[in-house]
Amino acid sequence: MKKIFSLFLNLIGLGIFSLLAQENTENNSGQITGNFQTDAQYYIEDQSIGAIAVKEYTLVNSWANFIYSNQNFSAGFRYEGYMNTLLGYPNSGGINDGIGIPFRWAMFSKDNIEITVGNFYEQFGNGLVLRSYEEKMLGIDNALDGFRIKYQLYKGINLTGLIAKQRYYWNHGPGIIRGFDGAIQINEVFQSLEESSLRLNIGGSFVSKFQHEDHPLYNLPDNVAAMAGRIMIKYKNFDINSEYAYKINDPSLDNSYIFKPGQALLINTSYAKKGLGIVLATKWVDNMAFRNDRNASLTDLNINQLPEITKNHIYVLPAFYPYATQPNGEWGAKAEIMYKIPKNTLLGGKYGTNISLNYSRAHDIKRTQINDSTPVFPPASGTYGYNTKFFSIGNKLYFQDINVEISKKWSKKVLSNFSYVYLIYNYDVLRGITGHGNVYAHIGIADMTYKFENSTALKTEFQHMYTKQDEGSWVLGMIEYSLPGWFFTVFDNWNYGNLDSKKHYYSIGFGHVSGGTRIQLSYGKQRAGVMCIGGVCRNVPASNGISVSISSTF
Amino acid sequence: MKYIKFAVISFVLVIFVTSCDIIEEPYTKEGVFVWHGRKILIYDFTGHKCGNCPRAHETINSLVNLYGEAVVPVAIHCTAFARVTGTDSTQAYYYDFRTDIGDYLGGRMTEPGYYGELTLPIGLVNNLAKDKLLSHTAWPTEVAKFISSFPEYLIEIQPEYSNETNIIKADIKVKTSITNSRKIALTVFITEEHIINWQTDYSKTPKDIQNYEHNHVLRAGFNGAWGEVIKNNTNVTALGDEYVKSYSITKGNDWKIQNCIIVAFVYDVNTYEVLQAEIMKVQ
Repeated sequence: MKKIFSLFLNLIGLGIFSLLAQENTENNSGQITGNFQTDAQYYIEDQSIGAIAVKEYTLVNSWANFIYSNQNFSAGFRYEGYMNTLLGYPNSGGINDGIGIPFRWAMFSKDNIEITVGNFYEQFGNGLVLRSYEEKMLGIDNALDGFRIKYQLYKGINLTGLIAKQRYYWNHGPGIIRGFDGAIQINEVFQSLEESSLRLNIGGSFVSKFQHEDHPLYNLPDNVAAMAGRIMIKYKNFDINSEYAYKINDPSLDNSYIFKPGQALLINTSYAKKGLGIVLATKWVDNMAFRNDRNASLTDLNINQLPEITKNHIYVLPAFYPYATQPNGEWGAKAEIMYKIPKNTLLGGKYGTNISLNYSRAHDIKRTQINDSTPVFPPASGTYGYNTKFFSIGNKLYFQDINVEISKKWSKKVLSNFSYVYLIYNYDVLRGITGHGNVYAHIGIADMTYKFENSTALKTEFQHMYTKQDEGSWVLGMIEYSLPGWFFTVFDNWNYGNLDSKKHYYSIGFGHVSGGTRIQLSYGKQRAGVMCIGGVCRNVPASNGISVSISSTF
Repeated sequence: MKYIKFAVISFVLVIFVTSCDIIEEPYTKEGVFVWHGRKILIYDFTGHKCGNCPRAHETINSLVNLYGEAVVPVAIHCTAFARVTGTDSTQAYYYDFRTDIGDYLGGRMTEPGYYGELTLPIGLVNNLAKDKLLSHTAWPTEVAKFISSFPEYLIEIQPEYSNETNIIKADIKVKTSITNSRKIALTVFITEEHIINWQTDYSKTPKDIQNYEHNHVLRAGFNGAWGEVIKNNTNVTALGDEYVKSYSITKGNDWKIQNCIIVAFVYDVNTYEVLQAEIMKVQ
């Protein structure tokens, strides 16, 4: 099988790299790894929740990765099929439907150099000027397609250069991306600092996008550059990670074609010792949307990603109102304390108690008019746009999250996790609509697990959200029973506070896990909403149907 | 080898650093106009007996063709050119286009109005001051001065009409879009399109046109010729500040409601500059 696959690589035209692979296989047959996943849903029309049926009845997203590795050479490809794309994933006009191999690559390293041709993912620093990544849950894949060279100039000094097009569903975006990044680990460069408690890394990035200027009204730049500098300092238990980015004029659909440059600052600090962790973070973003195509929107063709600093809630109800990064302007701050009450104390009990307190807040930035005749909002196309002072904070609140989580192991059999979350969610800004106003939501969560002696466990979740806004209050109950290799789940999410219709969104399902393979089957109803990962979001439509998910690795 | 590395890295850096185009003003391409939503009010003082007035109507039509909804014309019949020949509808020029507001602003018969003795056609473009009267040939240039500027206010009109009472209501919301410290007034008119009646046109033979289409004809004002002061001080008006007003008027017997349009505009009380105008069909 492996020989057949090696031959296949040669046949699909990987050229010199495949020949290299063949040469190597004479001494070593190499290794093939991969994974497969398919997600399918059978849709049932349900007017009570706004769920629609689809003409195909069933939609399926599938993909499989195959990677061949042999010493300093590796190559691979990903076969993808969307027949047709599951509802809610980016697929305007059916652009994502189809099958094919959109991701194929080969890489070899020799001496201090590593060369990649074809598709690859890359991130410079924190991603403020370049982050190419894949997130199947969001339907995002902005893979680069071109050439990348990584070079270790000196011990502790690493350089990366790339030139590439960017994946746009089954095609490429119109722009060409050129990027360069240098990272210096000071403690490695200077031998005398190798054992120092003070660890210092610095880095810088430069990314330029070329897109032909063809706008009928404005003198747009063909080449848009963004640059960033970063520093990481670690001293004993303290850690500071900061990056500043600047982007030259980049009129686009995102910023309503204004010519103001963009800026972003990200600062993450932390202190950690046994039983205690403290994280403080802030970020400030002004006009930093950076895309391969100046006319792109939603999650398409992003070159960079502005990381979120708010908490990504894993429980269902607090995740109803997730924060979406605002690249046109936002200020955010986060403080988090994680403390473990020692075991064998009054509050810690026999096993200790973990307490996590998290607070985050996001605002608009403060903008002023560039002159007496140009409005700030909506942004005045074909002008500089607006003025703002660096790190200014506007009055408009985007988001606030206060949450406390207490997790405790009561005995070898009983585990619990209790949470309280208070959210303020600026619905208009974060959903891009008007007239809805803020949502104020109080959420309580009780999560209990009882482990039986025969390696089985019963997990229960009770969640309640109280709010007068949006769809009103919700209550959720979930029971999951697991035994070796199997799990069974049933839950109901009841929108009892909805004045129009008190809807139930229930689900029942089971799954089987064996080795590297997992199969899950469920039936249920899903509420319409928004799903966000890392501050990037997609709309999730209401649905009613049967879902099957199969994943496997080898 | 060391020098080659240095040269390659330097080359790469030079390529990257030069790969950016910083654009200086003007950001707009030469010869194009960009409309940012500011609507331009034109007062067209006219009369059905005015033989040169159709030239002004043609100017308005060409401006509407060029700028579309950005142009808001109001045809104000006034002076002796608006006189009627009688009440017999079989006679030419029997129909009376005149209004109280038109009489006040433009004059009735030989009695001059607020703007003095007018030689028709004449008009005002986005400024209501006496010294801003312009011949129609100057209107395009004046419109071009305003067309790419930004509206300081946005106006929303919510119309309502009752067949039973014949009452036309207009709820007007004026929203600040550029922070300013102006003292402002809101004027609300009703106009009518597609009125077919007599018009003198010196370019035609015969010069009396029976089925001339009169458009943008001022019918009445909801709140007078000068409207209502809605901000009576020069304090700062912030972005998003709103002024909400409601007016009503009784429909005239000869108005076709399906052709009636509510025209609302905001002007600076001190400079008379019209800051934004808006229209909305009654039905």
